Amino acid sequence: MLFNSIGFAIFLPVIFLLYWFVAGKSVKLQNILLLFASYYFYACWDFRFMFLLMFSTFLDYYTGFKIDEAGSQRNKKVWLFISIFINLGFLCFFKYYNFFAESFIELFSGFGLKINLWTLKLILPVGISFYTFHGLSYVIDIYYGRIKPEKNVVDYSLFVSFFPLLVAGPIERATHLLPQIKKERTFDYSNAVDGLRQILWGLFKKVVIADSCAGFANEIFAGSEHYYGSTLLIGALFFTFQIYCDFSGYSDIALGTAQLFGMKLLRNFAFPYFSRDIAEFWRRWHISLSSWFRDYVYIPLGGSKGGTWMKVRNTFVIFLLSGFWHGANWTFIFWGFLNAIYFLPLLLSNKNRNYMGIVAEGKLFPTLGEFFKMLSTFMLTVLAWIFFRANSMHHAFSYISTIFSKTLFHIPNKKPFLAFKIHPGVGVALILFFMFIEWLGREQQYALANLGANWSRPVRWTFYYILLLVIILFFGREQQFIYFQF
Amino acid sequence: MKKFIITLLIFLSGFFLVDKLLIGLRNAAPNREADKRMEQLYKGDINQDIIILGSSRGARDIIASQIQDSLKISTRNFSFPGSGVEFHDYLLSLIIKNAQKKPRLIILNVDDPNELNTNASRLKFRYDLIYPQVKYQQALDKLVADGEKNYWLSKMFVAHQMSMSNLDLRKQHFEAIDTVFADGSMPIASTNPKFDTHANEDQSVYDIKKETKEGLNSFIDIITACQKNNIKLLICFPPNFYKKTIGFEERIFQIVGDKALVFVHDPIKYPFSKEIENYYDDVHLQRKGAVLFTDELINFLKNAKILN
Repeated sequence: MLFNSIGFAIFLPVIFLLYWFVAGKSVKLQNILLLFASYYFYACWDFRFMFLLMFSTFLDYYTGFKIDEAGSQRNKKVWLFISIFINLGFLCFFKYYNFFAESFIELFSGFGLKINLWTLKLILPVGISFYTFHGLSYVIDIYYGRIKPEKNVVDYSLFVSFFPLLVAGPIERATHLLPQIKKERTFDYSNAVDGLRQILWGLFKKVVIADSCAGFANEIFAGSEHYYGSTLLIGALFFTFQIYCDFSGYSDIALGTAQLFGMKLLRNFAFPYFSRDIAEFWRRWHISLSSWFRDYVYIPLGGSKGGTWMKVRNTFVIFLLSGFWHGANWTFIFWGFLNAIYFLPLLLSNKNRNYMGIVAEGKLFPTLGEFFKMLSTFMLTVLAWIFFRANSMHHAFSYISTIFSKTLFHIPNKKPFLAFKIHPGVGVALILFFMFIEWLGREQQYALANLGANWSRPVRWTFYYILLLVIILFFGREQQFIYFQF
Repeated sequence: MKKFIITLLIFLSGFFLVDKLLIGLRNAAPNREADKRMEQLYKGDINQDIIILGSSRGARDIIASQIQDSLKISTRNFSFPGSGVEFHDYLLSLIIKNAQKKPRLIILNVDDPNELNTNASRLKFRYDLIYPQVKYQQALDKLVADGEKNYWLSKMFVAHQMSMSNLDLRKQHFEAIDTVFADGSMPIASTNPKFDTHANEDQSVYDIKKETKEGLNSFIDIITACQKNNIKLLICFPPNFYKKTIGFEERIFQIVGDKALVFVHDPIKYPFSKEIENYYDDVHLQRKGAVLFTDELINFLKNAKILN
C-alpha cells in the first residue's frame, strides 16, 4: 500500500477514526490497533515477509532482555553479536547475496578463473533496511545501558512496525519513539491540522514534482547515449529534484501521518539543497540515517577524537557504508565514496562545522556569497546523483563525459520530452515554485508549517485548494517511492 | 476532535465545489487545439472511404487530397508525428466505433525499422494528444484503462480528469513544420538543416529481438480488426533516404501473410527516392517527394483494383 494510493486514502481515515473514537480511551487498545493496522499495511505488499518482520521483532525483543540480564560484559557482548549477526545476516542475504556472488565471479574471471556460484532470484523484503536498523539501534542502546529493555511486546512491536515509518523510515530510536508509544495520547487539534498540512506538502512533492521529474529523468537516463550533454545535464537536474521530492515527500507524509495519531517522528530532511557546503548537506539530508551511522558506527570507531588518519578512515567508512546501505551496486558505493571525497577537504581544514545555522536566517534573500556556495554545493550533489541513478559505473562515466563535452552547449534534444503529459517548461516552472516555497519555509520544520499562518482563512484555504487541485490533476499511475527499494 | 472533523468536512465540501468549477476549463480545451483530428475521431466526424494511419512518415509522405482528387474517393490522413503502432491501433478502434460509415480502406504506413519496437524512443503512444480531449468519455476511459488516470478519482474530481494542457488558455497554433492541412496530411516544403546526407552509407540488419510484445500485438490487432470489420488494409512502405533495413520487409510480410495487401516503394520504377532534393531529412520526404510518392501509391491502388 503506497502513501500515494487510493487504498491508503481509505485506510488512513478508517484507522484514524477507530483510533480516536473506538480505542481512544485506552492507550493499550490504541497500540494494539496500530500494531494490527501496521501489519495489515505491511502485508499489503507481500504477506510472506510479514513473518520475517515478526521474527526480526521478536529476535531483538528477546536479545534485548538477554543483554540486560547477562551477568558479565562478555555475555552481554555475545548476545549483542547474536542479534547483530542474525539481523545483518538476513539483510545481507536478501540484499547483498547476488551482489557478492556476481562480484566474486567477475573478480575470478579477471584472473582467467571460472567459478560457479549460484545467484538467486530474491525479492527484497520491503523496508528490511529500515526495520533492521530500528532493531539494531534498540539492542545497541541496551548494550550501552542507554535504555532498559521494553517489557510490553505490543509496545516494542509497534516501535519496530509503526506503519508510517515501516517501509522507508525515518529510522527511529527507541529513546525517542518508545516513550511516546507508552504515553497516554490525547487528541490535539492544532497537531492534527499540522499533520494534515505536512501530508499535503509531502503529496505535492511526490505526486507533482517527483513523479513529473521522474518521467523526464527516466527517459533521458535510459537513452543517454543518444543525447547531447545539455540534455543529459537537464536529466541529471530532473533526477536531483526527483530523488529529493520523492524521499522527503515520503518523510513528510510519514511525519504528518504519525502526528495524526499523536506521535512525533524524527525529522529526516531540513532543506538540504540550501546547504552551503557538503558537510551541511549531510546534516540536512536523510538525517535519521546519517545520525544512525554517526552514533552507531562513527563514534564507536573513535569518531574524530583520534588523529587525522582516524578521522579520515572513519569518515570514509561511514560514507562507504551509507552508499552500500542503499543497495548492492558499485554505483551506490562510488556515490558514497565521492561524497567522502567532497567531505575530506572540509574535514582536514576543520571547516566541516562552519554552517550549523540556517542560511540567510531572518532575511528574504541570501548574500551573493551564500548564493554561490549553495549553487556550488548543489552542483556537486547533482554530479554525485548521476552515479546514484546510473545503471552501472560505465553508464555513469559515459553520462558524465557526455555532459563535459562540446555538446553541453547544443540546444537540448526534443525527443526525450515528447509525449509527456506536461511540457518540460511546466516541469521547470513547478520546480521553481516548489523551491520558492521551500525557501520561504526554510526556518520551519517543513516548508508549509507556518506559511500562511497570518493569512485569513479564505486565503489560506485557497492556497491549500490550489495545491490539492494540482495534486489531483497530476495524480496518475501510482509511482513507487524510490527508497522502497532500499 | 469534533472541531477537527467539522472543519475537515467544510474544507472538503468547499474543495468539492471548487473542483466542479473546472468543468468549463475541461470542456473548452479541445476548441483551443490547432489540430482538430483527435476531436473529430472522438466526435465521430469521420466519413471517408480511405483513411491513412501512421507516424510522421504517414503524415508527411502521403497527401490524402491527392488520392481523393485522383481516385474520386474521399480520403483523410490521421497520421500523427511521433506516434507508434499501439497508438495507430487505438485510432483504428476509434474509427471503427465512431465513424459515420466504416472506411473501405486503411493505409497503414510502417516505420523501418521500429514499427514493432514500442521501446523506440521516437515512436510513442501519444497521450499528450488524448489529454485535451478528456471531455469525451472515450478519451477519459482510455486514460483510466492505461493507468494514466485513476477510475475513482476521475469519477469524483474534475481536476483528476484534466491535465496541464487543459489549463493552457492560449489558442494553439501550428508551427510551420507541423501544419496540418485540411485533408489531415502534413507535407513539408523545406529541408532540415540537420539533414544527415551520409545516412545512406551504412545498412543495418533487422533485429527481431527488439520487437516488443505490445508492438507485435497491436500490429496484429490492426490486421484482425480490419478483417473482422470487412475493411481492406494496405501496409505501406514509404521510401527512406537511408538504406532499407535488411530483413524488415520480410518480417512484416511474414506477419501479414495474405491477410492484407502490401505496397513497397519501387526505387527502380520511381527513382525520385534516390534524389536528395525530394527529402526533408533521411526519414521524411519533402512536399515534391511526397507528391511523387503519392502518385506511385495511386498507381498501385489503381492497378491492384483494391477499391473496385
